[in-house]
Amino acid sequence: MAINPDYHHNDTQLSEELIWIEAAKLNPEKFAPLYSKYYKPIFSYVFQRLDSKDTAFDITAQVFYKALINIKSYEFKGVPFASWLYRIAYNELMQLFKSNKIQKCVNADVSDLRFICETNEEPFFEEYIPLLQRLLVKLEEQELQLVEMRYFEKRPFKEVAEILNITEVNAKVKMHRIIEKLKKELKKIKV
Amino acid sequence: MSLKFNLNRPKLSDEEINAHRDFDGLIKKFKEESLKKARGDESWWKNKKITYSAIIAGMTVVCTITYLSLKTNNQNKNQKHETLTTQNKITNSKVNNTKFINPPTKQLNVQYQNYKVNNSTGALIKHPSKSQIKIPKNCFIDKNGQNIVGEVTIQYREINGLPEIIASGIPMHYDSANNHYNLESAGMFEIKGFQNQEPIYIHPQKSIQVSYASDNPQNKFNQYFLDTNARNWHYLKRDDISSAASLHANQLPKNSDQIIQTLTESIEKTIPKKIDSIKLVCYKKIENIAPINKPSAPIKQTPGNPIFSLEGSPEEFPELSAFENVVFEVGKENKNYSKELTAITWSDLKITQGPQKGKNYLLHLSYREKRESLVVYPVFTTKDYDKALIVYETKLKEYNRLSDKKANEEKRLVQEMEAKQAACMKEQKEKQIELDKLRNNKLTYEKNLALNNLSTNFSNMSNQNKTQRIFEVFNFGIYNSDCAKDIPTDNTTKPIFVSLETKKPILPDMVYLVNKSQSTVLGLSKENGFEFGYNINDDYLICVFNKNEILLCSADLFKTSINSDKHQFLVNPITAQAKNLSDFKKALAL
Repeated sequence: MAINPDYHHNDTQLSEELIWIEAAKLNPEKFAPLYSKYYKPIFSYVFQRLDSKDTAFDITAQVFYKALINIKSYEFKGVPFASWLYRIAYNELMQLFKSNKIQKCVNADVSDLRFICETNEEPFFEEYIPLLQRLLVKLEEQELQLVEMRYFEKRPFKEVAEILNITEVNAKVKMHRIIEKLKKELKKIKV
Repeated sequence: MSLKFNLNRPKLSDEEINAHRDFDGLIKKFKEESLKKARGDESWWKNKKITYSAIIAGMTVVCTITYLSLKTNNQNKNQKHETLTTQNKITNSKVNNTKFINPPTKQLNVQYQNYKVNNSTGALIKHPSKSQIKIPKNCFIDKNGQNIVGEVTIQYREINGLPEIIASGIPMHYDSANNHYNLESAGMFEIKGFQNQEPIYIHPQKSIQVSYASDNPQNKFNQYFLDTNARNWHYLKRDDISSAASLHANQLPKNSDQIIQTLTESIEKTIPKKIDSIKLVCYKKIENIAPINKPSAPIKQTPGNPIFSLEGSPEEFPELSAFENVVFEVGKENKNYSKELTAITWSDLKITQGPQKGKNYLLHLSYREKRESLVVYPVFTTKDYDKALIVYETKLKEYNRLSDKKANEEKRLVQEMEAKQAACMKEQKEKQIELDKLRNNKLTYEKNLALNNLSTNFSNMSNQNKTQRIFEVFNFGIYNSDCAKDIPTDNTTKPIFVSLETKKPILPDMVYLVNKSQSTVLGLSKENGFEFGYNINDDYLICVFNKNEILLCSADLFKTSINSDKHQFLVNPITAQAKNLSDFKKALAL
């Protein structure tokens, strides 16, 4: 699993980030380095779940606005600032999905679908693509988020758990269940 | 809304994503919303104190405005009756041509020196006057904000002395919040940049440093930039002079104040914060290390005691995961236990943590309306005990190994934190030494500077000992080291210029009043009849430009004129003697 450098920080990076955060709490204009660092990752996260790029840009702007107005309440928990931003983005998306204001979307490449199969010791055939699409669309919201983060965005479980505010073990168990479900459905088609 | 699936959607480019970044917009929105929130703070107007304060403040404002307007009206009325010309009238005498910088004649204009500079490398230009222009690399951008590639042409000229100021046509009138002054210059320069005849610009985060070699050693000047749009000089900063010699002797960086400030901030704020955050990060990491559960030692079943055979849930009770075939023995403390309970086929059972954590559990049994809870102990039958003991010992070994590993990891993190904190403290100490050294240097430098100034007051400045005036150039244009002088208002006159040669009056195109005593030159306004004010004790001369002719009212003629007839000024043609700038200087004898 590839390492996302925006998320994985060494102590020096965490310390530096903490200084930025403390400065931004006193002066909003000092938020600039955090904005600059996380703009693209947050946009990519939002756009991954949407059809329209314009909506994705709007939501990204809203995420940073919310982060800025709430930064005084931010509490450092030993993980990068990114997890907090992702959670704001996640909540923002969920709110909009619930209100049916935006088109929810799953975006994946064939290579992503292949990756799901191969990492779970299942052979991949092109014929599986429509079925996998159907199955993914049917998943519960959080299940879909797990698949997207784990297999499409290639995030490690620790990071997925941080964003979804669940334990790492729980994330693994849930992912195991989803994969079992997918395997079962694939087995049906084979028969 | 249904869920859509996009397969192989094209990726967005980084450029497109970055084009939507708008931090300024974010800050603007934040500020606007904060203001709205502050304004919309409910019921603030219900606060009596605020209401009364607002009423009092409002009344105060109304009274003040009324008083001031009455006072102004009275003053205006009084002024109308005054025969003396006021300063306001004098200020109208500034040159108000449509062209703001208006050289009186092309033949005398101060020429530019052209320098070729490669933008990617920057340059240090040494001007013949001993001024130096330091251009950092990648300093120039084009009108679209793009970095310039290749060579650019830098045009530079210095305007030194009163004749050159007249010849350049640069106005020396300074309006500071409606207070009008005439500027005395200790040196002025103009710098421009081009590439292929197209103007270029200085990168917003860069600046050119001009070390201007000034002949004037006095330390009374300020730096100004000529804003040609506002048609006024714009004050930049105090011009702290520094003799090049004393600067080199002390090796004091030019931005020493800024370095001192940065170092102080680093020592007092940044590094302590960093030390704290290293500690916080370390302790959070230690907190995040997964806890290790100690396996429970297997207990042998007490013969004769009743038992329940269950399957322990390893997820709920990790300590039970060490055992297989565990059974639950009913504890003697259960007063509610009777043999009848074993005869019931219970429909549901649940196990929860018992009163002694990790040692016993509560077994909740239910059948229809009947509910029973028993304290039970996980035990092994004789058959399974030895097997469980072996498993337990293996688990215990693993537990001890993991505990040691955890302790070592914690120790390592603490050591790492201490090492990092020590490094920070070392950095802090080094910076403190650097700061002390710089402060000492600055003190020595200032002492030397004072000594140097003192000595220069008693000796003539030679070319080798010019005073360096350091300018930070953020925009191309005209920069000046100036001292603002009051424009005299006591004696004023509307001059009539009469040619000494033809004895006929002339109506000049341009007139410059030179105050030799104050080293100032002021362009006079034709629209206002070239009216000017003067101090009776100062020495003046007037330079007149009439079509292609240059005429001079010398200091002696000026004195004669104001003593005899205050309005008639005799002027002598000097055109023949002033064919170029050098001759013009000689002709003016300044």
